[in-house]
Amino acid sequence: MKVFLIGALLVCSPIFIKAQTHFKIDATYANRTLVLDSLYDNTYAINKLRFYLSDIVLIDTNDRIIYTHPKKHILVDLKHPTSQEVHFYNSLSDSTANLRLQFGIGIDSTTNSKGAMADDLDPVNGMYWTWQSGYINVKIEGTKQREEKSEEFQFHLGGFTAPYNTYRTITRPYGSLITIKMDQFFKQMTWERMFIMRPGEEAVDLINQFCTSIHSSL
Amino acid sequence: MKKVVAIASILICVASTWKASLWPSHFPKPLYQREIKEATAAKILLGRTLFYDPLLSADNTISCASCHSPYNAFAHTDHKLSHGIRDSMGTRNAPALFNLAWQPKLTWDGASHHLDMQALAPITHPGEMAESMENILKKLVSSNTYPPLFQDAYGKDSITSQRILKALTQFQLTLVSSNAKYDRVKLNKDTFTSQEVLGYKLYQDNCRSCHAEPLFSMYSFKNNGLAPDTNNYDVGRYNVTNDQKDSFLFKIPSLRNLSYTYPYMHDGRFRKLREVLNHYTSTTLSKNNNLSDELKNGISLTSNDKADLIAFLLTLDDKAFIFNTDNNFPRVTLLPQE
Repeated sequence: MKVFLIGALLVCSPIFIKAQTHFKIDATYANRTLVLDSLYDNTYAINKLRFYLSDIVLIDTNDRIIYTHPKKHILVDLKHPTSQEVHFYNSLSDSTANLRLQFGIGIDSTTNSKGAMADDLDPVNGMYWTWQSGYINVKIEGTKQREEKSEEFQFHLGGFTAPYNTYRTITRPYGSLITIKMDQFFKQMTWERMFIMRPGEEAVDLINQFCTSIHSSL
Repeated sequence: MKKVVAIASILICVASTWKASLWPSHFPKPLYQREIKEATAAKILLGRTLFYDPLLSADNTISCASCHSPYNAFAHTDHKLSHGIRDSMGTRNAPALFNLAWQPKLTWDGASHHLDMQALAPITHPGEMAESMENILKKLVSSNTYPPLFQDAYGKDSITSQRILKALTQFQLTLVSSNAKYDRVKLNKDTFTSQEVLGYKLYQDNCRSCHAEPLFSMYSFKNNGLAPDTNNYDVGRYNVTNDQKDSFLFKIPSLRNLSYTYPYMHDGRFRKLREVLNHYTSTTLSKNNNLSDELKNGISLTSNDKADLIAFLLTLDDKAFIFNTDNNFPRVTLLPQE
């Protein structure tokens, strides 16, 4: 018990934590924070945007991983702004200058092949396909105006087996704000299909579009 | 007090059967090693109770056992396709549930990689149980039955969707069929009749490349030459992989317990074993590109051969499994007042 207490004190002690930093991952439209259910360019509205961040690490200029986030998978949901804040307790370096941030978008195949899980990976979060195995890595739902009509779109992007694996690892310069430029995402759309609910080529294309729309603001 | 003792003795009994029966000496090492290590009688009883409880469906009318009956080796005898709530009709024949610990992928098209997550499909499918995990959690928390069962299995305040799914897995992993006459013969406790010996030889010559011993399935996916069903035009594994090579491939079912699991095939189109054999020996197997290599040269069996082969197949019926009281409706938890 005593050992545990001392251990807890050590871990919590600020002496051993040289720097605390955090970044926010935010969706934007035309460089402004995206507000759910708002109409943009008289065309697009997003009602739901959820995705997984996985294996978040900070890498220094010598390619050393100097920080690994203790939570392997974080579900980010624009409905819950606190889920967009990712905190680091960086014990190795005072400065976050010149660091790179690396994270996965989605859930890797190893985790996907395990059984039922809890918390951010709980199937009640609506990020698990029920009719087949697999997490939904990114869920984007909303409406698009077409000739006075509002049409729904639902993109449930996932799939963890080749050739339709949609897990992506992204590296960006580390900054306090990571943005997903949804206007850039929409610009790349062909809108051939309004509903994508299964692994396949379309999901792979959209996940790539989503990832290229992610930027770091230093 | 009496009830507590009764439950405790059942728990001990279930636990011992499970450990003893899980891994028959003539079976390969099962998957799900972690789950097997974590197994306890309390988890298995919880999973068994959930399996038989219609609470898992939206209108509390059907349970897992509605389509997976213990007396049919956990298939649905006499039903071509499975039914859901409010008389909705499914698209496939409910597969028998046994020896699941040896199956890398589940369901006819292998859509599911893990038993835990497989249960989500029938629970949430609008044509099956049409229920949500959130609502099931609410029902379980407010029931009299479940809080103590979860407490015994997973500790205090442990009713979560993760535990529901894990408990269902724990029960389903105990459904091991390994006590058919065939098994007794393999263990030198019984002998085949002369007709069964002939049938065994025919099986070895014609069937075993896909239905390998001792599980009587490779549990891989094959196109066995069935013409596409006209009702649903079910493309099978292609649904999952989007790969043309997988069009009309379905999981190879086990040949165990055939007497209890008719009708046969993914859409239940054949009622009798004789019809199944007639399909395999017919010269009109659907000659599409995906026909499995094993069937390309055709299988030829005389009428006598078919009788002998069926005699052997019947040695794979496992009565001890069908009537194992550890697997059937758990009165102790679902009808405790009786």
